[in-house]
Amino acid sequence: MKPVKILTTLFYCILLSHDILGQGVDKNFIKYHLSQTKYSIDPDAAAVVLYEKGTVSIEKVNGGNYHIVFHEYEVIKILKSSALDAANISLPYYTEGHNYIDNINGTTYNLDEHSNVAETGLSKSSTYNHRINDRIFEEKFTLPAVKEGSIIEYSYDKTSDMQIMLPRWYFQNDYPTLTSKYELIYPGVYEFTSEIQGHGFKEYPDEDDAIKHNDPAYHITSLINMDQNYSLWVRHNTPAAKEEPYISSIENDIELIQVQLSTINRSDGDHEKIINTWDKLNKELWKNEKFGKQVSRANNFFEPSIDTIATSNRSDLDKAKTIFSYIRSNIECTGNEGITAEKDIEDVLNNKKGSESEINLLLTAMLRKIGLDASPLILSTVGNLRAHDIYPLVNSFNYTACVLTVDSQKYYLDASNKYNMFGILPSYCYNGYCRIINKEGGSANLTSDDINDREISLLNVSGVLDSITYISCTKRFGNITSRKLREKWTRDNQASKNYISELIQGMPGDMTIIDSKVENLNNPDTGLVIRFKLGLKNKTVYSIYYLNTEFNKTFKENPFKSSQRKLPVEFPYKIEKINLVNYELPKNYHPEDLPKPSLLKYEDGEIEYEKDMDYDTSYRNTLTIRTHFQNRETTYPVIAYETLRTFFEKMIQEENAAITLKKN
Amino acid sequence: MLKTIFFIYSIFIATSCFAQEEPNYDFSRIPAELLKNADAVVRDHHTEIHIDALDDIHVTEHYAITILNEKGNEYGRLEESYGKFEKIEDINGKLYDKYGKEIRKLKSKDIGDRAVYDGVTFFNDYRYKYFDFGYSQYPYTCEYEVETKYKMSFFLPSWAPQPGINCAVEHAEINILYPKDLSIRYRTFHIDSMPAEKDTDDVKQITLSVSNIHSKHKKDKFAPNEYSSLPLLLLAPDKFQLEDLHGTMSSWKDLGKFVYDLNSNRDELPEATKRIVHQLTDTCHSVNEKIDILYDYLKKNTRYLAINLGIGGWQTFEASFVAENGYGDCKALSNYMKSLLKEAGVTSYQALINGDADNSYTVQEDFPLNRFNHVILCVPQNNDTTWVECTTKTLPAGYLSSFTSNRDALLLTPDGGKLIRTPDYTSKENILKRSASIHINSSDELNGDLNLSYEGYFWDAEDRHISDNSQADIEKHLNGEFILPSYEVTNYKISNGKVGQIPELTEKVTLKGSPILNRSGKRVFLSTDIFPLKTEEPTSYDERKTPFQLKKSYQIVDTITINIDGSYTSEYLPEDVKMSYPFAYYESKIVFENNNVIKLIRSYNQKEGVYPAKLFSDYITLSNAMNSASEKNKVVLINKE
Repeated sequence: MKPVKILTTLFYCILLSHDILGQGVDKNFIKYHLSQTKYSIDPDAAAVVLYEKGTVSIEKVNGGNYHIVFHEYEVIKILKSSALDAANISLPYYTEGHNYIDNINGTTYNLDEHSNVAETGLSKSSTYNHRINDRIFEEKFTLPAVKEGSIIEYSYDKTSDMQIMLPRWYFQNDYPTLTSKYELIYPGVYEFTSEIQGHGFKEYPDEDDAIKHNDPAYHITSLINMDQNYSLWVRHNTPAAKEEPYISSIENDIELIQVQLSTINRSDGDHEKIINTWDKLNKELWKNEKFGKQVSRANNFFEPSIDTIATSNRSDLDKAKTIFSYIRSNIECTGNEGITAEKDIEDVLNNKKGSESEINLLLTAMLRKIGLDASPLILSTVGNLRAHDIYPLVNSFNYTACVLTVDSQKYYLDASNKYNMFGILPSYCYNGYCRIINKEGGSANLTSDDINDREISLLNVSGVLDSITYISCTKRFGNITSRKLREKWTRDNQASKNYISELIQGMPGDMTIIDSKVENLNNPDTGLVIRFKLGLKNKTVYSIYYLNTEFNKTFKENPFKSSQRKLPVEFPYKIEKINLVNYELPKNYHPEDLPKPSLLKYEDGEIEYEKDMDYDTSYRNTLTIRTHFQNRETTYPVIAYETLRTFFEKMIQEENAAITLKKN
Repeated sequence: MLKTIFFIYSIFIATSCFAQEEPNYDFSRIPAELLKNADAVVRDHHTEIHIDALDDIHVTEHYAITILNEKGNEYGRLEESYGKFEKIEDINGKLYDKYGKEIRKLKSKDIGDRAVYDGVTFFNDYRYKYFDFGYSQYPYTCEYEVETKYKMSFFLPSWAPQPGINCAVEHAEINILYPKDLSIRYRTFHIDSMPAEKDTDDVKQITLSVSNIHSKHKKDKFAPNEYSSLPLLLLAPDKFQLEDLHGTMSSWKDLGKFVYDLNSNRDELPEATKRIVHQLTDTCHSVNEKIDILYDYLKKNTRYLAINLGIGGWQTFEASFVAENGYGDCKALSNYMKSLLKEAGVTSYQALINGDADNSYTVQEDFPLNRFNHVILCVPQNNDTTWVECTTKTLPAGYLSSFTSNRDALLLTPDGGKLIRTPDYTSKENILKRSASIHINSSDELNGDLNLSYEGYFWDAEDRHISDNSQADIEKHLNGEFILPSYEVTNYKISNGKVGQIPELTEKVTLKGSPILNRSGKRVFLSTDIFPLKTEEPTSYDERKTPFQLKKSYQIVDTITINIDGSYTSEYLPEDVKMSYPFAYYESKIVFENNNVIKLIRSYNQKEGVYPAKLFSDYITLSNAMNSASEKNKVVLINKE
């Protein structure tokens, strides 16, 4: 059923004045846009969403239950052939409950040779439906006669059971969007709360007023009749959403709205609050059989295995580490299945297999069992919409970790991956607001500023004028790089050699790896170390020798190549790199024109690069070059981009500084 | 026929006696040499193919594989695809621990079932069943038995006993049984032994086994083109059946005839389209003009979209469907183009081909078999043949990119199929010319004017970044193309042209930025190279024992002129390089002139071919010299002022 059918006169008045045909655009609109070849919003765009609307109607069905009908309507102008795929539509939906898609309609508009509008309709036989897997079906269709210059128009209804979260709506798309509307028609029995990301929406009493003010983003609410409420969000002229390097996730920047059910007003006057405060959300989850109950109940099945740990004389932290380490190495992770435990943690322990959240709930339960202060921590990973402290929405979270407090020190734990370190979550977990779920409840804010990766490299270069120069290197990787490399190097025993090969690739001279050794590979709680020795063949002996300073480099090239930037720069974590290169020089040589020490600072030292040199003849003839790079903050606004880019450019120049050796 | 089935069945019982024995998958029984470089070891693999009739083929695969580490896990997973013509009848599985002790059995309720997403088709009716024990205590062994029924014989299953390069094989065998009145051909690759054939009164039998195949550490990118370096047995029936259609493939002619007939009489165009064809071409003076105009019409009015349902995987949409809906796959679009040409009085033929930019499939001329994956169009003319790729928006008529050039195609004509060769593009056609004129001022700021021209295969690669891309994407591409620590393209102009039938793309780029330059006292250290030039990295530096193949012929010519403000003498210039081998020629030279001009002139010319193993060390030397060239091409100047 289309929502328009259930609306009263008032609703028609609101909508008909601007939605020319009630549901969409009219022929003049189509004809006008068919003749357009470029749009000022983005003259370079491959397509433009001319108009789109998502309508969510909550309708009563037989038996007094409600269901959701989501009606999507799109009108898109195709400008370049790279956007032809916009005509291919895929609509996956869950098979559970009363979920289905129907009322698929589509038309392609082109101008014929006499400049008349030619319409080609989507035929029924061109829609396809299949079962993707046990839980998901997919409806697919492609519009006919689509080419550069065409306008495609399509709509469909997606019906589903009543649920807490309403379909999410993106005001920003892959293509620039002239008008995007999201409307909600719902009975008085329900109340909703909405989370808006991006541009704010100004409240207006009605749409005419909003249009008069020429507002690019507005919201109106009204009462259609005694039992029908109406809410409309309108956004004009949004640019295409585009990825850039050094952003945590486009999902954190895209303009969207997420509406969630907050209250049910019963006919007996009772108001049932559906999770609308953090406190309530916390209590609900803590009581939930698949979540809080898993860790708060007696869990006596642990006893035989856990007794020895509990009664040992070791410190609380050591006990926690023992349990963490046991789970990390013995339970296999089956992936992410949301924040709750679909399988009981007892089964997870017995079958040695569980989802990320199940494993961490098991960890939390075991830590609690020996009397430690541990609680589940729910968070939203990078790539998922960032959770926000003012919106108590349970669906904002997609991952469960564990927070442990020992001697008032907090440790964040994730035992679902055997390469994870005690006390540090994988970097994708640092994505903002999180909730600690326990009797009282609490919050945490985990950001990329909370983790750092400190890498130290020590090099000794000897025999610089001999037939072979020997370079010995010890690199101790930071926690985050260690985790990444450890996973790779464990899986592929050649990978550490490939790492060295990549490191020396492009360096001058014929260089061979003489020897290499990896340390701490099997101990994920330590920094990974690689030691290697290289031999560099020297062809001739020069009277002047240009010292190979490639090993001093922190960055091989400027990470910020583009001169323009639209989104803030976000480093995934703090980076610190310390490089110490010791050159053993031949007795009768000295460095000529030694570069001066340098200190580069971005603004007040949020990023710093330092380089100094020490030429020492007192004991041996040695030259030591030390460089130190550090970013103390991870996020930089768009406005700072040019300065940031210049900083790196200067730093690269410093790194390229060459050193000459001359005979005494 | 009933009798035959019964007879085959009884042989099956007799030959599959391995199933009766208690298997022993104890890890310690694997010979030590098979564990080297291996992530998994196939313990025992028995394949039974029983062809009862051309539309009734039963395949039973029974195998046990020991997974040695996390990397081998993929071999322990079961993935079996099926569709309208193949049905999976039964799946059984068991899991064993390190000692070969059974841990658990596969339960049919745990078998997943999913639609196939191949990344190419928009919609198809293929599905697959999958299962994973999800075990991680290494080593462990998975044993599976899968029974599949094929309801057609247009494709017979091939046999690949070694599932991956990092997988060793203790023992594998195949047994094929088929009625005597049928003829089944076979061809082996990378298998030393020959299949054994046996005839009884009613049934013929082919058996083949392999043992002790060692795994290799890495895929050999330089291995010559005989399919892959893994053992393979291909089977081809002389007679076959697809739905209720019967055909033969004992010759390319017959196979081509079948595919031609399957796709014939689907070329009727709507009247409106016929009118357009005449409006566009009636005044044309040559066939080539007609091809160009209609190809342009095709590109503007259609798009590639594949929907493969049942026999639709091999049979094209009607031309009228494409005319009305504006989409189709390679079959449908080439059939449509053929219909447009026919209306304009030009005869053309579709050709089956294997589309693959690496050209890693070689048609076996004396072994007719359908292993093609693509269709293109061929317009034969008296003196020349024009080839048309109908699924792209950018290729000019008459040029086949690296996706389909230089290989055999099966031309589909009313008289049957015929193998013909598509054009070969050599280093006379595949040319990259780059020149740069660079000025570095006294503040070490760099301004450059660059001219780049891409022809042939170089056009293929560059066009992907240019055609139909937004200005922002083109700028992003150009801003990442050159070796400078920091730069910005301030202006660019791109034009497309043709050299004969070969497309040519030229880019005129103006940029500013900073050079790789350092001053230390009076000395200036300057990197002269701004264009990347690399060969394919050797996968192994060990002594090579088998021939190697370079797959493409091409040439690159670079000229870089740097003008640096001031007056200098040169303290150090890299030596001239000249390297000449049967497979390639490389020359590089840096000169210093007029106190402030540095010129880098170099060229690389590679010739495709299969070369003897002993030349591979030369290839490594060349590769090392070229791949570190940007660092080697550094000069040191002394400021005279």
